[in-house]
Amino acid sequence: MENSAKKSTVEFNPELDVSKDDINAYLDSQDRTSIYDFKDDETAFYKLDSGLTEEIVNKISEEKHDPEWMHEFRLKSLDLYNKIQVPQWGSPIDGLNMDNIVTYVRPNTDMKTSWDEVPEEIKSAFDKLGIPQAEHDYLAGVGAQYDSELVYHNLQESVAAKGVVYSDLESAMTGEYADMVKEYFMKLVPPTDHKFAALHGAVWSGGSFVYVPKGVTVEVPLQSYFRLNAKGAGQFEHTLIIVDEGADLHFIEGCSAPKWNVANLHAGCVELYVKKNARLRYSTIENWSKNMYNLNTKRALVEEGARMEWVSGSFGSHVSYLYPTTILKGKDSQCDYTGITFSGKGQNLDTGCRMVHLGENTSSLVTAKSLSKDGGINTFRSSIEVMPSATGSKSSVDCSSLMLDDISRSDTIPEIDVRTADCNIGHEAKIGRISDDAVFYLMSRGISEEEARSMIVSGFANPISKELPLEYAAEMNNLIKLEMEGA
Amino acid sequence: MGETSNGVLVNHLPSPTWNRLGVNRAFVNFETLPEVEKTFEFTIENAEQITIERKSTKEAVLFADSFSQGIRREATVAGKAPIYQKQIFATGMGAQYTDLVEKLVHKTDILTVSENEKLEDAVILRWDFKKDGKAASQQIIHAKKNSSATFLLIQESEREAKGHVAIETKVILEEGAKVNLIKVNMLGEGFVLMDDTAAVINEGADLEFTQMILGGEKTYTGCYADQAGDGAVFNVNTGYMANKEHLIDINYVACERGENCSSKIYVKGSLRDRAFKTFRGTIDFRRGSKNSVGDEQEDVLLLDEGVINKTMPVILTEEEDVDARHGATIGNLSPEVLFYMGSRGIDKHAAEMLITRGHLISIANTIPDEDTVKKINLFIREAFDSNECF
Repeated sequence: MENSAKKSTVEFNPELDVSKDDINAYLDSQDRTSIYDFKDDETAFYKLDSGLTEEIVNKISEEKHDPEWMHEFRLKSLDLYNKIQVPQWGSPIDGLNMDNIVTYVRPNTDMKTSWDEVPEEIKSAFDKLGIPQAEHDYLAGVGAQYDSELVYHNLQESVAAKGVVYSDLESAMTGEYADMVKEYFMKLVPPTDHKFAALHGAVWSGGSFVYVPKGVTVEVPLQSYFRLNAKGAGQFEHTLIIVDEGADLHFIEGCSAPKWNVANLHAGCVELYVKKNARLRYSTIENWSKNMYNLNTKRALVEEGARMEWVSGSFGSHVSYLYPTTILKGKDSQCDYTGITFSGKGQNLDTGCRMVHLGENTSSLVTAKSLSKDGGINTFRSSIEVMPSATGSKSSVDCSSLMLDDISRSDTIPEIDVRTADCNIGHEAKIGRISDDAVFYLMSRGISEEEARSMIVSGFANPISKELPLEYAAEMNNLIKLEMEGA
Repeated sequence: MGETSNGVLVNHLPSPTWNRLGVNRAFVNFETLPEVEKTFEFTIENAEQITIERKSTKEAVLFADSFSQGIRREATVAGKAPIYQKQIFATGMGAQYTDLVEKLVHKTDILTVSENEKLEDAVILRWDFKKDGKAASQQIIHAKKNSSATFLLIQESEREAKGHVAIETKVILEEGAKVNLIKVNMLGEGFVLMDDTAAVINEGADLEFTQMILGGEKTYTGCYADQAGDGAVFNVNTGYMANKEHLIDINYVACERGENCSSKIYVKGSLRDRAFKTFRGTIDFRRGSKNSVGDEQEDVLLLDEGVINKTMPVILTEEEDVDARHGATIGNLSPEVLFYMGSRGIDKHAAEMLITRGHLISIANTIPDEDTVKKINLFIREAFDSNECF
């Protein structure tokens, strides 16, 4: 296993009532740089050849023991993939060559329901990421995917007793919920949607299925964690969540990978169905390695009186295309999107969201923050679409960007499409730098310039971190602190 | 990219977005242009204050390009070079439209304001078609150092008239020059207007651009301002109204390159019936535009259920030391406003009329030509009177 740990240090500050050693010891304990960037030996794993051909898709289907309809679905998706053009807008993805991407890597284990049964080398990866501990401390269930397959899935008995289903998608496809999966799978994000949705349809593997029955509230969150370890591989997990009428769920998604010198690809798909008067919060802390092309598709369909909440933190990847889409179909349905994106050296992150108002009196609230540093490129891209049927609807978009140096870039490209007079739509955005006055004020109180800038950035990100569970907010703040080192 | 066989692609968004939104560009379909024979030339008033030279278009293009050459430093917009900036003198509507105008006109008028000259009266270029007609025209306004001038370009006709108009105006502002460029569209309901503007604004120069889009069946318009010099100022104040199935397609770009530049793009309008409007407004801060500011705002009043409004307030930034803002408000009158109006005996329709007129008249009143302001007032009143709502 390689480990590229990097230590943070501080110079002694006589104004502070702690020694330099104390501070460095504290930073050591907090230093999370290395925890994502470790690589495991995968020589024993089963891998398909790189590239994308009908033969490879057939092999994946065979490996997954797909029902016939799914096998056909994959082949149709492959055909679409070959026909659909690469997007001409957005960050460049010229460095991504599908001929070099391995679409399926199977670890040498079946899925387990106890961490003790997971092979040591894989378990140790998730231990380092703190997943078993998190499950023990504050999660109702955990799914852990390693490369193309789930290696661990478990749900608390008390939650399962309420009828909540949380399983890997393959099991759901052939088990008791087979009809439900067939009814909903890639209906919200059809393979015709765009090139990478078609790619996903052809080679998807792994991911989770969640069903929360009518009226059931899951008190503590469920979490899926995706780890992509293999060099030059792709991860194509599919998450399908159905929150039935009046039910309530918080689902957390985390992802990471070690850094390789070749491109890796993540083209996952998330489909969320929020039924009448239900509520779903979907939180993501994404910290892919900086060689990753993160071309992920997320979409929610929200029924009458229901509420969808997206909380999104994007820190990793080389290139991202990530725009959670919400279709506010039902009358009085609502959606909040709260997101932060931090682009550093070598990163070109194109993130944002899309709201489609279809139902009467629907409302959406978008709060987006972005930071660019060390030559990082940030693009906030959004679309608010208010259809003729969405009378009485409201939408508000608030977007702010901070530029932390003069070699970075920050763009905002919002679109508002309104097709009814009976609505109220507002949009506001601002781009600027850290105020010199604020830095001066903090420095006049004995805080170093670096710490002052870091504090200002943490304050800037506060509206997002306060929406996360405490442990995840702390994790996000750590990531920001790391990114701010030397800024 | 060349002109397509039956039309031109215009108003390219500098940084393209999702194609399905249909806002990356607009298409002017020649097959739908009204058939008219009569060709019009504009008339010019107060011309004695300036020098007018009519040159071959080829010669005029080279002249204009000489002021723009050397400042084209392309940015990487969202990772990709903008698709339309192949032009040396960048325009709002883009290269295909410029090619079209240069094919249609063989002569270009160069209107020069002498160094340090401060014009007292507005120079008025008027296309008064009265009945049906068509026109194509290209002019270059050259404001020399520390000069100051107002140019008013008016297209008008009787309300029932039809036709098509293609205009391109290039403005060169030398150091310290100030130009008020005002464009007013009061064309009849069968007109298609294509009206493009491009400017190079040098150090300390100021372009105040006012546009009133009141008539016509379809209006495609753009403005690209290259703020090449330090302290260059570009302010836009636009008002529009559209009803029936009228279409308005706007593309404004402020490209701030110099230090201490400033741009404001303010647009206000109202849509009725089944009108369709697209507004693209981009403030593009290039590296080196330190201490510059940019602000854009669109306020749209939607008065009927069948309207379609698309708004794209874009900011592109590759310079840290800038202050950029944009905003948009879209909707109908708030219940508070309606209640207030109602308490004074003004019903909903009358309130909508008052607010719309208020928006437009506030812009019209800045035009330094009393006769034009009166005409605009009358045009707006007639437009409301002809609508059953009012």
